[in-house]
Amino acid sequence: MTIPPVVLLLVLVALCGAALALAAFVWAVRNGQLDPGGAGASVIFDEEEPAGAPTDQVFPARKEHALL
Amino acid sequence: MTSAPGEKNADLVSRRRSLDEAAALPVLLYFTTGVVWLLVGTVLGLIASLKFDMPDWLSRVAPLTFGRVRPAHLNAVTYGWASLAGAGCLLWLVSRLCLVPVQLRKSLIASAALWNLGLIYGTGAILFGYSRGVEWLEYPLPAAGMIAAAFLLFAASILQTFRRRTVPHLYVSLWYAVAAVVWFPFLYVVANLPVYSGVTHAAVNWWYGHNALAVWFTPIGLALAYYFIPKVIGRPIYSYYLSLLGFWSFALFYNWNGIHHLVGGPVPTWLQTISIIASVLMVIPVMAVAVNHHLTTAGNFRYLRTSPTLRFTVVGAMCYTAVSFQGSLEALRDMQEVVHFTHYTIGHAHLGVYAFLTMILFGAMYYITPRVAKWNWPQPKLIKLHFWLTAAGIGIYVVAMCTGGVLQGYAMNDPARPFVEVIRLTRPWLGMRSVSGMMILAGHLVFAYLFAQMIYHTGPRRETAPWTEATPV
Amino acid sequence: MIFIRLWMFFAGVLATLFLGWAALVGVPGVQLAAVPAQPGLRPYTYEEAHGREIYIREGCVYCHSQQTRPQGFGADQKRLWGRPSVPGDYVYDQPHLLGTSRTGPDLLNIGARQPSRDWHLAHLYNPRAVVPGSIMPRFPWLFEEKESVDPLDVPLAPGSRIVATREALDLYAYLLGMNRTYPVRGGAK
Repeated sequence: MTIPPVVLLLVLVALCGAALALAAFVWAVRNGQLDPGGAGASVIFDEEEPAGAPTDQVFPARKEHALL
Repeated sequence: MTSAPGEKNADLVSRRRSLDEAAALPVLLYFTTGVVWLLVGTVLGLIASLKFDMPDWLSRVAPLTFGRVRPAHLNAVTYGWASLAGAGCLLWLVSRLCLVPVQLRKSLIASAALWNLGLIYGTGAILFGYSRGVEWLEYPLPAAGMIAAAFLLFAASILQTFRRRTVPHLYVSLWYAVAAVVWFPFLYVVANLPVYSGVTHAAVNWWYGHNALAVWFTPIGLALAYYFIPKVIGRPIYSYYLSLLGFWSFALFYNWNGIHHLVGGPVPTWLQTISIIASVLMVIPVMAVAVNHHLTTAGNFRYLRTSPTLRFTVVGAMCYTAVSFQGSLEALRDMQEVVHFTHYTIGHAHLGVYAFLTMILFGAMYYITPRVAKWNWPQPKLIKLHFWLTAAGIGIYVVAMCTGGVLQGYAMNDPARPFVEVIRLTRPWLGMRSVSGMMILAGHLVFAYLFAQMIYHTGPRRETAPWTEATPV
Repeated sequence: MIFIRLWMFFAGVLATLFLGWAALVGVPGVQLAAVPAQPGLRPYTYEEAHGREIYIREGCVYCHSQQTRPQGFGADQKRLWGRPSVPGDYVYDQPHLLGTSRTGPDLLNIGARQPSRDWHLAHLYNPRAVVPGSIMPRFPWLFEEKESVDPLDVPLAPGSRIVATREALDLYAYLLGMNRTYPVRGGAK
């Protein structure tokens, strides 16, 4: 059974993709990216836009009305 | 640091502003052209829908026949609107998360130009009779080539920005963004190669179709939701570790789903089974995402009142959970037997690409645009109009198509019912879809109007957050 | 401890499944590429191939499928749409036109079900004249109105001045050729 060359190419590229993904995963673990504790969650905040302070108030806050 | 807190804060603001400034031109180019394609694509979609209600309408105009308008709509809204707006959002987000100005800005201008050229060429080609006839891959090779080249330039910018990052930790959104730009070009090029035929081609076609969602469109939506939900509320994501595990299981399972588009068809059964299993296994990463998005939002619904970004993003995030569970169920053989080939799949597709992704894109654009255009949204009430028109519109759309689809499927599987009767029973649901399409188009016109005000700095000037000229204390 | 085993587990699963992803593309590619055409299937004639291009151009695939499902999976068999289709039925299809939507009926065996040229031409010109309740588009540009009809022209009806163009005739040839009712030979899958 002859294997069409394009199929071989696809398999090769897929293997490279797999190797890349595996490398990324191993790097992530060794670099501490996947350490439990969730410290990474706060990187989106800083002192000027800290956690605890909502941003982006565009609509005026109204007490009585619902989402409308 | 010896500077006073006020000075430090001013530094942070000016750092943020300089990032926004660097991002402004490329992001606004992508956004503006994205909005144009949103309008073009929506009109094409409405025409397609109306053609089912009134088949003799404009029936002498060949470029507007359903079989051409429908793929033109699909390509315009996916490779046009969703991809351009998504790319613009990712450029801004990656820059913010890496704390590095957007890199390779000149090539991004070339990218935007090439991308749009490809879209015009490709969409025109479909309408004028040069479609390649492959679902999701109708553009002739030159157009596909332009889009691939444009995407590679965009990917280069994202990767270069990422390489130069000054932050030690990769926020979860970065994983999705970088994976997407690395993975998608490969997918797009392989799927477009003119070397397939027969059922192999069908397998490659649907491997591509579902993976385009898996590795390009969904990561955009998730990357944005993971950032904007906690950012607007001001609370970190509920379980950050879970979000990272969610990413890796997502990467593991999602790209096996493709063959669930061919259940019951002439492809090996084991292949169909693997896809069905993978589709069900997607419940795992989807639960991780759901836990994070929804439990972060829980208790904070009041902010949906004041932030358009949060409103659109939370609706989008909820619809992600919904469409994913729906998809996992839909892949099962018993469901497939009823709903395959029906309007149900179209309802599911729109729950995904519109109710999930497009709503999140709107949310992200509502946040990003003031910061890059240096102007506040002048008419917040119109934002609410946009929201309600599109949210109600897509709600009606999905309910109509999914209900109609199930009824259609049962009728088709009943050989006692003549085929014309099957068509007849779908018509009220198709009519509802056209109504919803008009609502959605109206919502998009409002959005385009608002967006134009941002570009031209027209409308009442509002000196409130997020964009103020005044320097903070 | 548990954490270390967890990451090893993930790494192993990742490697296995990404490798297997190659299988999703590679192995079926091999398996399907090696599938020979069914003996009853012949390559498309020139007219049929041209007609197929028109089928693609007009987007027929968005409403019509070309795959007949087995007994017990939908009513394809009971609706007499043809025996379950197999990979060897599609060998000459480039691109494939399996379709994912049945706004209209499956067409894999339409040539066997409805071979009449007059029916197809009338149906393409105005579907609702032939099938009341149809929502299929009209294709008037596949026809032309002539001042005087030649003997070799194919009018829609006797006495009509609306005649089929080459495109309509070739599209009909393609639809007539959509006939996979020959018996299946060899290992079907």
